[in-house]
Amino acid sequence: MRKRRFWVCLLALGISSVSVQLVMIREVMSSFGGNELVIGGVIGIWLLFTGLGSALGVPPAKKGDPEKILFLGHLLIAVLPFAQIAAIRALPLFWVRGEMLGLTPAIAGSAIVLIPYCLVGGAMIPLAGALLQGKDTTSKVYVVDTIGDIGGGLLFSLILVYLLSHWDSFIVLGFLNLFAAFIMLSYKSLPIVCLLGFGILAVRPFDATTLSRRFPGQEIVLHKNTPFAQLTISKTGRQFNVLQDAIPLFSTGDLDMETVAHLPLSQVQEGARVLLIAGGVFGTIEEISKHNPTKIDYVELDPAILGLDKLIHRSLDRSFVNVHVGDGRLFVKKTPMEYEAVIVDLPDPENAQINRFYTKEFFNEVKSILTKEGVFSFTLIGSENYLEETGLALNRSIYAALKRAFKHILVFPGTTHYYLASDVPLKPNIAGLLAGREITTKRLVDYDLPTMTDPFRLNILRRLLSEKEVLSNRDLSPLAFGHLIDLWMKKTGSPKTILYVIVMAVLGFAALACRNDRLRFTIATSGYAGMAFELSLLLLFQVIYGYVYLRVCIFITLYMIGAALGAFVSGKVNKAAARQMLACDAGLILLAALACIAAQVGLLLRGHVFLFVMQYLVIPGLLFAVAFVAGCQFSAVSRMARGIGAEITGRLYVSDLAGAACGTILTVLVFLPKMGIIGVLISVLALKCLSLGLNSLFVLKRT
Amino acid sequence: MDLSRRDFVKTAFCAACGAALFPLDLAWAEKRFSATDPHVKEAFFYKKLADGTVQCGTCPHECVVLPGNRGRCRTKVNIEGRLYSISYANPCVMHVDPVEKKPLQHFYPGTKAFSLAVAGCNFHCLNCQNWEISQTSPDKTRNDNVPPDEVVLAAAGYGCKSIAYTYSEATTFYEYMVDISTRAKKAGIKNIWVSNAYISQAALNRLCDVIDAASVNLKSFSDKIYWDLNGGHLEPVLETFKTLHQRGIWMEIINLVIPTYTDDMEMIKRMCGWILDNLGPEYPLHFSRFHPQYKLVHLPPTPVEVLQEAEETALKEGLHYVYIGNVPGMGNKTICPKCKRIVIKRRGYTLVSNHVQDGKCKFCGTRISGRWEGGGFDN
Repeated sequence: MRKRRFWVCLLALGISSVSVQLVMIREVMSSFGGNELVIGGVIGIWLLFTGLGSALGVPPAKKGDPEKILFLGHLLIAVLPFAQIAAIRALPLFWVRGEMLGLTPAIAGSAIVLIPYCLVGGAMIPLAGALLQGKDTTSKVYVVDTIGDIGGGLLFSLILVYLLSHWDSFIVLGFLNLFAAFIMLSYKSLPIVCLLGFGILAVRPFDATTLSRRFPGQEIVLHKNTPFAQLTISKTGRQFNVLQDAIPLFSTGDLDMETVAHLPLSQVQEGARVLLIAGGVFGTIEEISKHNPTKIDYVELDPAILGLDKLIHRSLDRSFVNVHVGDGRLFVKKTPMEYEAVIVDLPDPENAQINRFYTKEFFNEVKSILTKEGVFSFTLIGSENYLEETGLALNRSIYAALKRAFKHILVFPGTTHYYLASDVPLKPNIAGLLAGREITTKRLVDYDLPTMTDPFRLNILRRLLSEKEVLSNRDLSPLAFGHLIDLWMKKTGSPKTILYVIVMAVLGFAALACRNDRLRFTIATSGYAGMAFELSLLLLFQVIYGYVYLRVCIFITLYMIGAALGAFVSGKVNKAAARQMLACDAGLILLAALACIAAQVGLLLRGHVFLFVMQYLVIPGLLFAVAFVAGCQFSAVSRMARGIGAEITGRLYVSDLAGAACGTILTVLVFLPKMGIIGVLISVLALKCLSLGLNSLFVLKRT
Repeated sequence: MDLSRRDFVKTAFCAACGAALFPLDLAWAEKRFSATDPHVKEAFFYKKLADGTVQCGTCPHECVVLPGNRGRCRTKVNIEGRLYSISYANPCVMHVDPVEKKPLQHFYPGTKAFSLAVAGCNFHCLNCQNWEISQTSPDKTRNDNVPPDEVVLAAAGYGCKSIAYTYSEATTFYEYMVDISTRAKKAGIKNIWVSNAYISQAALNRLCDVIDAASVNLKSFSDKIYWDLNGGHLEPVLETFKTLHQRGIWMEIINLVIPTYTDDMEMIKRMCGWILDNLGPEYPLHFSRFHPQYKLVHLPPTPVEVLQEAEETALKEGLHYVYIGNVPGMGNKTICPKCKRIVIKRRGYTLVSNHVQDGKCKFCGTRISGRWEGGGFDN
């Protein structure tokens, strides 16, 4: 009976934790208009306080009779997410309506909301361990918990996100936990479980009520979850607004697409073949059509965006438009076509994923699919009157990358900077070129072009961009992404001190978690290595191959399977734990070195065979191997540790989660934006060398 | 986790030391000034208080500034018991813009304005479109060294009818603005004050001696909204409008219509009523469309029909000239309040036709308020 309870508890906990974490990250993004910093912060808080919860769970686990506490734990895990989602949606009521907040309120707000769940979830891990006896308890907990995580990841990413709202997903998870609670205490718990079940169903109408707070003064026409974001269509008067994560993306009457389309298209002959990456349904295709293109290949990552076309312009019905759902970068790599114009209409490089469209490597790939006289265009954050230092650094790093790929560059100033690049000279007289084709615009010619072609502003921008040599934005060194994070901090008035405080808090916690204990230190470094590897290898895959949602889900699952299998195999072998631990340290060092080589080689090689090898063998192989070794080491160390099962579980989980929190926060906030993927991998290499050194020294001393 | 008290104290102490080191760079980052530094000039309006403290008198914030500290606008520094402006002759932006871009529709239409700014602002509007220069200080921007005489020479050189003090908040570089304006006036160049109208009466009265026009924001007609979105109060702004009117300065009033804040028609009606009662019907009122920017990004743009409703409300209340801004194709006509014919037609910032002759409607002879020259053409 206890074994069954052990399985049910950890599986329900694993499934819930991962799903709730994914949902809450998305909700936090919508409430705070956040970015990678906020995501990193939320994951860091999650890991940190789950670790702390594991530590707090050890004393009650030692006392025995864990079922009652686990019963209460499951009840809390079932109902807390509803309070969390309502609180996150209500938080904006405490500040000025419509305001985007900085890092401090985002992190503080998220922490207040998330901490109770994390503490309860964390405390349940050693308590679940107390259901079993024996030396291999910790290893079993690790395996079953990881299986639960796999289940949760797959359930949310492949099913819930497509079928249910966030609130309804929590209802499903709530009932799962009520079932687990029922299993803990059987029939005597039935009245409470049923009561809570009814309660969960009864509060469902709060979903719409709480959601409407996020869209003040707007009537919600459609609210939809997609794997990438929360998409909303709202109405204010007769105006329709499309919002992504509660930030307006497009409103009827917007005219930015005139500039996006006409600047590049005026540079090439009519009847051009055009590749458009994103943004097409919001009117860009309509504007391109004024130049009589023979073909428009339109690539969009999120199919839900394509669905909006029916409500806006019905551009996709045009005979010369071919829609491709998928990653723009992957399309550029694979297409056999040549184009007269390639237009990238994506947001600024606000994360490492989007940064891939602003790098030297991508610019070279675009050049390879352009005709000799073809033109490439994209937009970047700008300023009509004065470009401050961080925005300038961002523009310079991308300008430097573009300069290495194309002979001629023209940048038009404005609130948004419009970049044109080609190997033939570019023509700045856009108004004349459009007049020659008798193309009329509502805003571009009369309102925007006088400023964009103002000699004062043009000359100042040209001088600013070229007066200083800077490092180019690269795939493996996403400098632009780092600059944009700095710009966001500046814009939101977020003090850098908060970053230092977060880093110090996490490092301090990690130091406490593995204080004076070589084994815990080893586990913490592996926790760090695991997260750092996972994040950098996933980015490397996107850089080399492209972003494929399903593939990324599979890779994350593969990683977790590797970890569970590693722990399982190590437990089965059950010999020479110390040697296993040393071998795992060495293994992770070797894998970090291999990943560095793969990253460098991966960017140099071209061709379908190579892409096949990288996507099916090298990157998944590395991910699986890293997870396998880390899982193996966790199991080996758990067998070496002294104490009773629940105590070991608690301690090692604390160390593992503290290390993982460090890995997430340092990778996302520091190493990736400032030093790139190689910097991340070198940090892993250094840390694991230290771990290997300490462990070897200890083993040598003993022998 | 079996943690002893000693371990905890040790670790916490190390963490606190580490954390404390980092904010030091922020403290050191604030530049110290001396009275002999370039671009430093003693402020025109301030009061000396006890112990070297001073109270700024340029704007209604009336900041009390301790020695070495700055006012809210970040441009006034207390150096050894005297208040200095650090925004003198160090503009970070200089452009030549059509006067319609300020926006002024009734002030020598079709002419160019030499436009400049020094960093700084006494408001912190959440939707500021020039936050890069308004929400910082002059010691943190890339500046040129341009004394007042050179500004006037440059404006004349570019054939500008006027000089506009714009982009950031001109009141924060008050001393520089007054000195340029005085010289420009002598050289026959007009002066335009583009402002949030948050200025002390003493400073405004001195400014009115040298300026010719003002493009002033009436950001809302609610004190609470003023405080929440902009960090100021309504009453001093209204006083500014009254003084400008009394001193005969041409002004155009800008009202940004922000969804859920300033789109309430009752409030707009009250605002128009106040304008009519206190300033009369002749000054143009511009309703501008809001676009999400800077920190106010969770609101959608203003629906065009809301702006049209505001326009109708203002006209019904009796204002003669009402424009819609930031909506291409709208607000590009000036209509004679009597014969209702179009007297000025614009395409973007370009004049298509101008039927205002000697300040009067060409068709019915009614006086069209504003400052005019030339006119009488049709492209």
